[in-house]
Amino acid sequence: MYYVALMTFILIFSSVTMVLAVDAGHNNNKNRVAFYMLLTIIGGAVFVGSQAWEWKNFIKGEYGAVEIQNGEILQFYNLEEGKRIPIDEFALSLTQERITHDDNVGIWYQSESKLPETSLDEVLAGFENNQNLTVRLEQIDESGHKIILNREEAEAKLKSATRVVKGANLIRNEYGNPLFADFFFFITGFHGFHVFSGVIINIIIFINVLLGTYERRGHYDMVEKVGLYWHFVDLVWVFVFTFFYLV
Amino acid sequence: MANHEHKLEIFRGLLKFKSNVQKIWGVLIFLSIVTAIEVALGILKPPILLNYFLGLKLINWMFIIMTIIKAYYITWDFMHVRDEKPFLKNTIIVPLLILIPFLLFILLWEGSYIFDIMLDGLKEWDFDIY
Repeated sequence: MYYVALMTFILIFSSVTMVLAVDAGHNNNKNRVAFYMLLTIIGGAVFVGSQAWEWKNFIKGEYGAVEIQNGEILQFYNLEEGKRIPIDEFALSLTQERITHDDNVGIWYQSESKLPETSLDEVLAGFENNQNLTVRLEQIDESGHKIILNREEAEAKLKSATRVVKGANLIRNEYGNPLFADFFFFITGFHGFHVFSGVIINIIIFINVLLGTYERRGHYDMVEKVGLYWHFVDLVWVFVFTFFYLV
Repeated sequence: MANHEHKLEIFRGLLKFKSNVQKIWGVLIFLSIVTAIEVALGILKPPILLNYFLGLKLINWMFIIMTIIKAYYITWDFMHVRDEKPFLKNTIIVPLLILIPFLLFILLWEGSYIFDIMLDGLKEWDFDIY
């Protein structure tokens, strides 16, 4: 949240340097245009980098959860401390022989996705071992909090556990319903890609400014055009920020 | 654009800047203040704003309104729509006024269908894996 707010400020600021570049272009001031274009490019690059970092964290996951047969995600919750607990913190380490199946062994050339570091059995044994633990559902109650089950209900739910989920991708999501992750990756991915292409276009225009192309042409209308694109990307982010991080 | 003239007042003439550059910084400060308020509300989530109003929490209404305000200043001042002729302004605004409610309607309609299935639908929560 704090980091995304910072990213929002960075993008708005790069939008401002873009307007300043356009304004300097109206005064045919080559050096100022180049300077502000450079700032815009840096701002955009920082933004894309931050986005990539955020994606990496999101994909890698933080707490981990367990998926049960009907597709629900169960997150683990420590009643004593009153907060969510990561699965590696309570899982017992059992000696198990279970290696990832690759397509170079076996006859059907099929592979499976990477196994989680903590196996389902280890998580379940750890849960059995610690009576303070319970399960938090992804459904919310009337006051908007996620529902926390009591110990018996949690044990009943965990009977149909099928796998450990760590992180988020387009199929599974430890934070909640996979549809949310799909939508998040879809929207921020498209926006990030547009920022990326905006940075590339900005770099092209920046080089042209340095070469003096627009000075010879007599006007800086091209800067104005990429500026409009850049502002539009910023405008979209204003909405993405509201609907994906605030609401 | 052709004659490089800028209208330099914002807030309906309440605030008038001396130059275009100054106006840009002024708008940046305004946008930053609005964003800061949004972030503060998002962190604090004051309980009084969590009541529902027309099917949506008050806090979400505030976020949406503030977002539209920000969008207005970005298009009007950064994308210099303010300096354009009224006809051009309308060609930008009128399609949006028609299309956005239409898209919102589709999104809410389809979204509530999926949500209903998720709550008490056929058998699964998860449409992806099975």
